[in-house]
Amino acid sequence: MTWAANVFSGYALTAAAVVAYATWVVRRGRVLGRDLGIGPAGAGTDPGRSHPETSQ
Amino acid sequence: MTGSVATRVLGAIGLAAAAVMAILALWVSPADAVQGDAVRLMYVHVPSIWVAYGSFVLTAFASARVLWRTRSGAGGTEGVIADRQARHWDRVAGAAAELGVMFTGLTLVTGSLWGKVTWGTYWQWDARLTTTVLLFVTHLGYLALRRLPAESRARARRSAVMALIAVVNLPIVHYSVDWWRTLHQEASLEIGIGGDRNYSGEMYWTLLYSWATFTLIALWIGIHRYRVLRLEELAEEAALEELLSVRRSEPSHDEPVTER
Amino acid sequence: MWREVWLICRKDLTVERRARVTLIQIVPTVLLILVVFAFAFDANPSLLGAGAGGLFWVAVLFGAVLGAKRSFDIEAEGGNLDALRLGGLSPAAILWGKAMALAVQMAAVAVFTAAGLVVLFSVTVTDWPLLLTAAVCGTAAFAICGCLYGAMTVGLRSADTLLPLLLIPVAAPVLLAGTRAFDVALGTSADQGWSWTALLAVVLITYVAVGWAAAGPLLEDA
Repeated sequence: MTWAANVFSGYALTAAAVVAYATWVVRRGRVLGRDLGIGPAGAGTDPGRSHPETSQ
Repeated sequence: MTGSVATRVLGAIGLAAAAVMAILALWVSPADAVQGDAVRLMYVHVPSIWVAYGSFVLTAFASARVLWRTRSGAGGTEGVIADRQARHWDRVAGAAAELGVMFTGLTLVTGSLWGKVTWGTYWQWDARLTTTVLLFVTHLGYLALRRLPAESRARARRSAVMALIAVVNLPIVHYSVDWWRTLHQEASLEIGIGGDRNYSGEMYWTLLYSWATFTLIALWIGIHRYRVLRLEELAEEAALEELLSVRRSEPSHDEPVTER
Repeated sequence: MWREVWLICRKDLTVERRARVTLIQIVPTVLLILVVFAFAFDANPSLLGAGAGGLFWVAVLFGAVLGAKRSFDIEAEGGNLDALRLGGLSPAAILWGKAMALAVQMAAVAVFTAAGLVVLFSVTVTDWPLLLTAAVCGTAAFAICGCLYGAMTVGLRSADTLLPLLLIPVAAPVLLAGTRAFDVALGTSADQGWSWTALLAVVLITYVAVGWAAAGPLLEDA
């Protein structure tokens, strides 16, 4: 059953890496946003707004 | 802080798509006639590299835009607009390159795991594998270059040049490695994708579906990363402002000296 | 333009003649690499002879990394690069002048490396024209690449550690093609040596074109 171990670790590693990276990005955004005193996106001064094509 | 209605919807769709993908890829799609169930690794391996290629193409395109928008000469309002656009494309390049590196890394790892099952070894000095590992390392270098503190305009231009060299170099690397291997190896060991083998319709659709899922998730992370890069710039500017205001409010060191 | 290139080249070579960093630091380091490889392969003469072509290029590549670093270290001190730019020299002239000087120094490194191979690994050359053509194309390509990345990392805090990471992957095709051509020239393989040398020439031309395009953006506000 060696294929099972490899297939599942392949899926697990992929999921883990993507989740870890996404978590890091979102957390970093939160920390920076708090430090800068910027409200959540959509409240007027969010960074996404300065370039409308990415916040749509 | 970097979320918006659009990204929340996108994120939710991505998550749902990933759940459906897991069912399709691990359960619904049939096992391969030759490889058996090991073929299921294809649904993470192939979409990873497709997304990575897409990201690197985006990095190169954005880098070209950065160089285009930072040509010297533009002044006044036009210069301000050009500067803003250059910063925008620089962030796009940075966010895309990070995603590309992550997905290339995942491609290498899942490829090794797949290779272990089908070829019996984790690694082959095959043209595609060697090129991929060089692609990975080159873009790691690109990210390392981006991290170094420097004046933002100079950093943007320098990284843009690096990204474009990486792209120009890619075909040379690929063909030289290809040639290097084919001269020393009778048969290519590609049992996976790319051959003439026909996969069944279900496998084909599952692969396309997985690719769409990966693209959605990459897009979601990429938008957030773009906004975080923007926040990092704002934080840098704020820190500088703060430093300046502290410096201004401090009693100047020169004045007492001159008074005395 | 060519006068400016020659000026920069002569400046770098004068610095080298006075400081002799390439001669008394880089060349010995490269020879040490050969010795270290002999340790790694347990001084097995047949293995060392078979791998001599590759060893030459690996050694020269590391020499080029050091040389490129050195080439831009002398510019980073005291804002030398800005001074050159303010002096009215075009970015392209600076890049090509430095690349030429680095190529000359790399040629010296290559000659010492080849001599080291002959003495230490008892290598015999069977095809001199092939060997020389490949060596010239390869070292010139290393020099241009080295200058491009040297210009990219000039004045950055961790340039020393970053430069090899940037340079080695880009130099990989030169390493591959050079090794194959040398294997033929040293009589250890019956490959198509001239085709590999042609590939080296193509790589060299590509780097020249890239350097031409990149000189402006890299050096304008460096």
